[in-house]
Amino acid sequence: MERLVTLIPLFPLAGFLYITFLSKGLSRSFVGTVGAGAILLSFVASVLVFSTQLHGEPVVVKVFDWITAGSFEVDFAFLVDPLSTIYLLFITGVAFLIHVYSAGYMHDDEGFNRFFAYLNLFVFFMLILVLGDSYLTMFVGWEGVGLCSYMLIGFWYKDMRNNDAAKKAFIVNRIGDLGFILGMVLVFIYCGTLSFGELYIMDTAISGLHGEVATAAAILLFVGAMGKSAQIPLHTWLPDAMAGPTPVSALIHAATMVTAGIYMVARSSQLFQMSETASAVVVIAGLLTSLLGATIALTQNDIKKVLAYSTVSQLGFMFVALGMGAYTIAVFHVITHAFFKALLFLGSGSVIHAMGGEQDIRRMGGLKSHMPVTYWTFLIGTIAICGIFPFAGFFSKDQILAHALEHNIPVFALLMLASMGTAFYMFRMFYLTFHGHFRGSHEQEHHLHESPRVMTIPLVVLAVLSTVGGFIGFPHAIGESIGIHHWLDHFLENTVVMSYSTLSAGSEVILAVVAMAAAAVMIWYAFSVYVKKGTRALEDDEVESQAHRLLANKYWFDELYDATIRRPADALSGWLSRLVEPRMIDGAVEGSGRLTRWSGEAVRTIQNGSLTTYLLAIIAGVILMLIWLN
Amino acid sequence: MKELLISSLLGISVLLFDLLRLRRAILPLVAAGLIALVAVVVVDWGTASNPFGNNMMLMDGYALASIGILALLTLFWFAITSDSYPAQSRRTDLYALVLFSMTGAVVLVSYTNLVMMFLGIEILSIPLYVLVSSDRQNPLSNEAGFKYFFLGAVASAILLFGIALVYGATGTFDFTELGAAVSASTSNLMLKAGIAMMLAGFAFKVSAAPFHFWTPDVYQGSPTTVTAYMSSVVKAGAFLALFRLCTGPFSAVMDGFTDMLAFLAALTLVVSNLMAAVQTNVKRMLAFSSISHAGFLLAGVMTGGETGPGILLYYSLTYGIASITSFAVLHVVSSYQNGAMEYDAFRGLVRRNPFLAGAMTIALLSMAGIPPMAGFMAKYFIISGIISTDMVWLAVLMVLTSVVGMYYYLRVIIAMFTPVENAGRIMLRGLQHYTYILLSLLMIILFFASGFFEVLNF
Repeated sequence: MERLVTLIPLFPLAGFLYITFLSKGLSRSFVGTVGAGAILLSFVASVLVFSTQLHGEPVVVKVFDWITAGSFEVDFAFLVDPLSTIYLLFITGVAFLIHVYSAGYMHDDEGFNRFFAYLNLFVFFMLILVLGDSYLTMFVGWEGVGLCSYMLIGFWYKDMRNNDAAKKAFIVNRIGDLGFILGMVLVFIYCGTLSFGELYIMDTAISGLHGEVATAAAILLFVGAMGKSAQIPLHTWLPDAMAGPTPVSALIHAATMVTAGIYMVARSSQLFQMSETASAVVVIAGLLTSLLGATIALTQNDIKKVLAYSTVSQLGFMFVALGMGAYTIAVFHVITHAFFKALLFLGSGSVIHAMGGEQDIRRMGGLKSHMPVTYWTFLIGTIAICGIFPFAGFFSKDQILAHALEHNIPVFALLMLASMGTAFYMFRMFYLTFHGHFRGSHEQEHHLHESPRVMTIPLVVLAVLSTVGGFIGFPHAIGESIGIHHWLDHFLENTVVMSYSTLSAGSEVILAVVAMAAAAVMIWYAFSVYVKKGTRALEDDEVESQAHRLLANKYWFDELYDATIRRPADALSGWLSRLVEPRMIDGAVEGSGRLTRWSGEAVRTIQNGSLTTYLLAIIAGVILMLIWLN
Repeated sequence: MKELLISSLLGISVLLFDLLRLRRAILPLVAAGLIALVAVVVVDWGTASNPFGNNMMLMDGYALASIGILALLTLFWFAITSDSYPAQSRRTDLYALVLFSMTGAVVLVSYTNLVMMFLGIEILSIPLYVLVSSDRQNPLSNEAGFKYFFLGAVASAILLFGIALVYGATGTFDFTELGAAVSASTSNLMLKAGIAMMLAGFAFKVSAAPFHFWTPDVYQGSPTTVTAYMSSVVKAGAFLALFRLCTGPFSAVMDGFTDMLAFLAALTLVVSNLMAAVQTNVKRMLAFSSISHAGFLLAGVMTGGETGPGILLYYSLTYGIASITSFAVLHVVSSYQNGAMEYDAFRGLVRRNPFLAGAMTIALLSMAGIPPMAGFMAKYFIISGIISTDMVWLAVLMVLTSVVGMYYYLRVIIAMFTPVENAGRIMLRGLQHYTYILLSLLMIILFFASGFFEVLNF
């Protein structure tokens, strides 16, 4: 098994190296097969490793000695436990489907090989992130996925806006990374180790942390999670990241990388459990983010931006669950979300493909008849995200709501609000895209077509997963009364801190019905506005209501950062480059260079080529050494 | 015993082959001989060995590892310079001299008697005097040979004087007896004066300041291939011999010499780096750079300890490879430019031959101590060793002088990547071409394999 675990990340790495260095002159279908095949091998290996964890103990697989400096020792090791294996499973599974899809989606792109190389490299780092047995190993993957995200957002680098979006993602993530690093340092100082095995599985070293230090460490680590998982106030990069190709948005910015923050917090559940303050911070950030995402999405007209804000909002849901101690539920929502959000993104990619690159839902409409597979799978994804039984999203979202109901009524109320917003904006987008009349140009209408098999088959598979994927986490009380247990909770119970819902079966049923009814109302409302009345979405210059403008401009977050951070920083850098750089820095650097050369010239006079001088130096040296003895 | 036999017989066979008109077979013979030497080391590794020749030498683990490294460096030297001499009988003489000199180095890493040590030094040095002045048409080469011979004789005299004083104080040349006598009389002034003079003699051989003045003149005057050999095999041999002495019989009194050695190392580092910075001739710059590495190695000798031998071997190997590579590239480049060795001679090298430019870049970065080149780990080991012996000032000085080093190494790299008009391509023969690739790879592989040397135990 140990060799098998090591192989899991090596397959994509090999794929990356092969495509980067040896793919010159090979056909695209071959490169695509190599790229997807590498992930498929990882997936198969992941399934095998996963099966050992069904009834096994967690295992730490040491790969090599990594850093040994004084008392600081870190092994490059992998931790195989239920949490990491279930992540392995859905990451490699979803990644494989998206690789297959990409072979079709990117077929006419001149950077086809580069795309697959980056995608393979991304999966490699993502697997390192998930498998790493210590914060430091995790950090390697963490930075690696950040790098790949950067390269893939700016994949079409000829358009400057894409590069700007890439840079934004990179820079905002740096802020989070700083928090991660500081948190790591704190954990190391107090616990003397960064290994998850020693900290959490054996449960010994973590006792070094308590009280305010635990709070500080947890919050700092959470800042890292905020950056990667786009939580307020570090959420601004994720919508811009949609500049990358759509499969990238599906894989990196919806299904896997952005949920790394949730993984990290779930990994550190014992730490977060120690501090109520830190948990409260997580709940508040998650709640605000879920509301913010859900409200902004109401007014967006770019199909990918709607999905991006929806992702931001759903990530907020997951953090609320984490903050309330329902770590397994958060992981559950990560998994179902990976299925339906990947499906939605790939579906939107299929739409964009058919529309010849158009992403504005105001220019779409009536696509239902032209692309039936995309339509039906997209519908499944949309229903799933709205939380309708028996689709995947229902189970995970319902349990988050149940936890909120138990712990904190205001949080529950606000989550319900966000959840209703979700139902509305998703169906708004759905109806505007697939129903009504086509509003694009004639040329586009003529061009409309269903996507090729290589793209629709992944859609169908993901649709199936979005339909049945929720059954791995059947609600406790209802489940017990009808004999289905919560498999996921059971699977993870020795890995993360558990918090079981104490709601009775009856209240669970009532909650589910209420939540679904609320969603159904919003769906009906969207139907009546956009299908029955045929209202069209406003053009940018038609927006008059202040509230609408606030949402359309995303609460002016970018403008706020621009005014409070970027401009002062620009001014400061300008001042430094005008005054400090040329006078002080250059002066010091050039001065030391001049000093070196001057002293060199001074020493040089002795090195004159004359034997007598040299001999004198030797004799003087010997005499000096002899005098030194006394 | 086998190691000594192979290396000395190899030199004699080269002469014999020349006599029998088998000149084409000489290079394969040398290669086979050196590979056999490495193989013998590998086979003998870990087996107990007995002293031989009346306790004159002992092939212990340290000696075996050192011989392996010396043989490898010599092999690399032969491979990379294989095309550098025209096919005439002179080449065979030089090959034989190099092999004899290497035999001296083999003696120097395995002696257990001061007499053998002195013999080793002389066997190492005498062929060098001839090699240095082997470019007969070049007055600089003749001058270098003479200077080296003259100053070398003085240094040998000082060394011998030191040995005599040590003998006077202890009454023995033998390591075991010497060790006992030294620990019995640690404050004997005659003994300490003897050790100081022996250190001075060695300081000359390893070119530590203020005994280094011959080095730039000799390195510059010698044929570049000979310089490559001197700065790698000879330097490594001398340092490994010094280390054997300091950690062996004299280990009981070495504490009293730490400050002196630290001062020598510091002086070496400062003088060599300052001088290197003002050179305009790359060969002379590399000579000063070689002196600055002597400063590092001297610090490595001082740190000793359990990991000491491994670190010293690692440093000798990595610096040796980088040095052979850089001098070999310099040789090729200057031979295409009518012997010019200024920085400008390197302009546009990346276009003229990317492999040469790549190997040179890696070698220089390794010498400058930039990861992921092996030179970084080598410097890191020594600096961290120095810090653990509480000589932080020396560690700081090492880092600072390394920064100065960056300046003159990068100048060559910048020149190589500066475009130049109408540059003709430089062609390399197959063997040389592959040797450059091999050495470049080694400089990176050794970075990752550094842990192996750190845990070498003898």
